[in-house]
Amino acid sequence: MIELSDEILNNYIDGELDPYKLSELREHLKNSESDSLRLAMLQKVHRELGKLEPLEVSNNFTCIVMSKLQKKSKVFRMDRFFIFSISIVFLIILLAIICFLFLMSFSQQSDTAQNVRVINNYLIFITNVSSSLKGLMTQKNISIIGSILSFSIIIAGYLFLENQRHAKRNLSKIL
Amino acid sequence: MKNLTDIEIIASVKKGNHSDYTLLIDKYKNKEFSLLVRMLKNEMESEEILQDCFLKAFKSLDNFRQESKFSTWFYRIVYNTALTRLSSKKREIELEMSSLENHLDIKSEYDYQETEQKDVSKFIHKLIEQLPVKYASVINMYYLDNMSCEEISQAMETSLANIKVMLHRSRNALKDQLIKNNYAEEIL
Repeated sequence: MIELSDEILNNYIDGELDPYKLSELREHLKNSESDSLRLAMLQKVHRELGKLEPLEVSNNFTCIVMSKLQKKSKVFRMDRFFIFSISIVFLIILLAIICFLFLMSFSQQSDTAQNVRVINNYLIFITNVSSSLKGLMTQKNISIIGSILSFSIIIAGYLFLENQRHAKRNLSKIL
Repeated sequence: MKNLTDIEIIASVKKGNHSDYTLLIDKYKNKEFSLLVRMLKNEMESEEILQDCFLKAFKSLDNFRQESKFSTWFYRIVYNTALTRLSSKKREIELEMSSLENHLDIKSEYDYQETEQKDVSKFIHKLIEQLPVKYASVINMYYLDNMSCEEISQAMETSLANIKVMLHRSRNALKDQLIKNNYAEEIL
């Protein structure tokens, strides 16, 4: 005689009982009215749950999602375009400066000895800049530079957050 | 009406045919809405969250690697978003979801009215509304969306054994309520 737990009944409903347990269960149910009732109740629950109908969203749901999607991707495209154009402008300016410097030096100096002198001048200039930077990095100066940098970071952070807040406000207006 | 599979729709959307995303929305909106309403017990809030979930899914379509079905992947988004909303509302879901050791006990507020009418279907449907969040989610996915226990376990990020236990416990709780409220005669 098997002990008829709820788990066995559930497994029976799910068709997960092996043939041996299945025949044992059927035998048992023939002799037990209370367990047959339990099974009938469970089957009723199973059938009723199978009849569940999905709830429906409002009629214009899809339109709302798609319009939100379009607006969001428009803002995203605008942001991307803005960042891309700013980067391009900076890159062009940087390239122009570099090209200008090289053109200036090489167009004025035609022979090789003079070119070497120009390069040496550049190297001397870079060495001077690095040595003056080294001079700045004393214990006293470094704390001043640190303070200035921290202050700049705070200001930049504030400006960034303000910009974000502004963008968010604009986005919510659009949406 | 185009008759495309989820994978074909996603491929089309990724190619730039954003309007095809409406096919996915139309396919899943009501089922997911049912799940959210059962979890959050609020239709307006559920609709708002569902909109966010569709936007989130659209944004993450590139991350969908087709290791599982789109439905399972999307269910995970919806389910996790609903849980986040629930926890942000400081509901005691952990307690309500009840650890598997706890006995699942639902009370019927409708005993009095429904006993007179003896409408079993109505009675069961009212009881489902009282199921704890996780149990209601399992019932919704299993019966309404015809998901297998394996798919549900993927969506809910829980073990297969836990899903089966939750499914069985939900049925048992409903069955116990039927017996308790003398519905035996109606059924037999």
